[in-house]
Amino acid sequence: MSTFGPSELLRRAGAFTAIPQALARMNGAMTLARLTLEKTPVPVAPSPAVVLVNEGAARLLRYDPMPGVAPRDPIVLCPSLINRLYVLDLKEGISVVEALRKAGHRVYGVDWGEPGVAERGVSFEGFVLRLSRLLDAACADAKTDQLHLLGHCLGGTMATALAATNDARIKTLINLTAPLSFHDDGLLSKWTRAPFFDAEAVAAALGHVPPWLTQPAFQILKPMGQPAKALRLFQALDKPAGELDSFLETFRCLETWINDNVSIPDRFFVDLVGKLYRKDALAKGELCFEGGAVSLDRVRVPVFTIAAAEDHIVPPASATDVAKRFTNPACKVEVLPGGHIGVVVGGLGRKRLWPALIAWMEQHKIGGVA
Amino acid sequence: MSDAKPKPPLPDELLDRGIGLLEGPANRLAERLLSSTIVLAPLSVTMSLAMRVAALLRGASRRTEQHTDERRQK
Repeated sequence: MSTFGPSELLRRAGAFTAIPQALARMNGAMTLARLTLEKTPVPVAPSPAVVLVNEGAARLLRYDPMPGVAPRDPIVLCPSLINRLYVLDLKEGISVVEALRKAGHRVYGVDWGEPGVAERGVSFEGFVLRLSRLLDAACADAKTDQLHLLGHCLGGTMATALAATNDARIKTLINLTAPLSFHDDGLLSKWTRAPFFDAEAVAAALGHVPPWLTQPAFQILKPMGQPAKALRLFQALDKPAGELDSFLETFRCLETWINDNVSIPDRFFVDLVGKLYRKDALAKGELCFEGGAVSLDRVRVPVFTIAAAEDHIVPPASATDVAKRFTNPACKVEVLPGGHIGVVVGGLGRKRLWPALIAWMEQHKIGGVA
Repeated sequence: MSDAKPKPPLPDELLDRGIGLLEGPANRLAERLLSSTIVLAPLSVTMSLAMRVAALLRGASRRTEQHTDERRQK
């Protein structure tokens, strides 16, 4: 039997919790404001690394191996060209790089950098070739003929195009929320395919497409995302002191990454919009490089396709539909809980993602039987 | 004794519902609006025209800079 008296009425009205909750939230908001105003550095990209090779703005990083751990296969991480690499190494405890190093993998990362003069006029194919040269450098450093290649977002699209044209050094390909078919229901797909939208004109006017144009566009992809995020932050600020510090650190690290965009190289942008989004050339097999057509049917290496169930940038179908065409019987598709970034840095996603990556590479060891 | 979970205080429930409303129906409505051709077509026409004008101005200013440099060299 439920009791319904004055005390229950007061509890329901929030009379017992309102004041302590308001004080805790005010404290949380003040702490966040202080940290932001003081520009307290955020501990992003904690894994130690050295630069192996530079090409234009791009750098190939080699992360230091974890001492005392038996070595495992090398892996190259290829992020999206329009975001920073450190989403895969966000902070201690929330880092794909750290998880892989702890498992003994030799980890290399491609940092595409801020495009400059050297990137003017470099097409999608040009960047795929650049990735290929960076793979050569990683293979030489690891003294191996093959390695695993993980492509995140557009990095996965480029890695797939490379695997379709020249897969000699790729043992397995891991596509993490990588768009392969671009005609989907997402807003990004609809915007880039809007009638009269002229990517050539944008590149002619602006050169490399700057973050002040792309960042708001990405934010409006989830139109109510910003007000909802503000409310969720307000809701979470009433945590106890110890928990609050850790929460705010993660929040600031993530915000730093989200707002640390790079420009999209001019010709790459034209190809991305014109060939990939508007013509869906990769999925239709109509994308052509100098060496011939880029056909997904020619991807012969085992491919592990990972999509995020609530991804609004790369809807799951965009990542998984075309993956069915890969010919290797060892190919695998998995849809993990979370959004485009949540699957990498969110609690539920990363609990499943990291072990899945390590298990995949263990199953397809270099020198082992695939 | 009832096993039913007591309802949360009203302000917390309202906050939860507000977030749910924003992320659910309000977001879907805004998405539908932002993906409709009626909205997208004029926006993309305006943007493309503005970019073409900007490209022309950029080209013109570059040509002026080149002329100035050439004159200085002479």
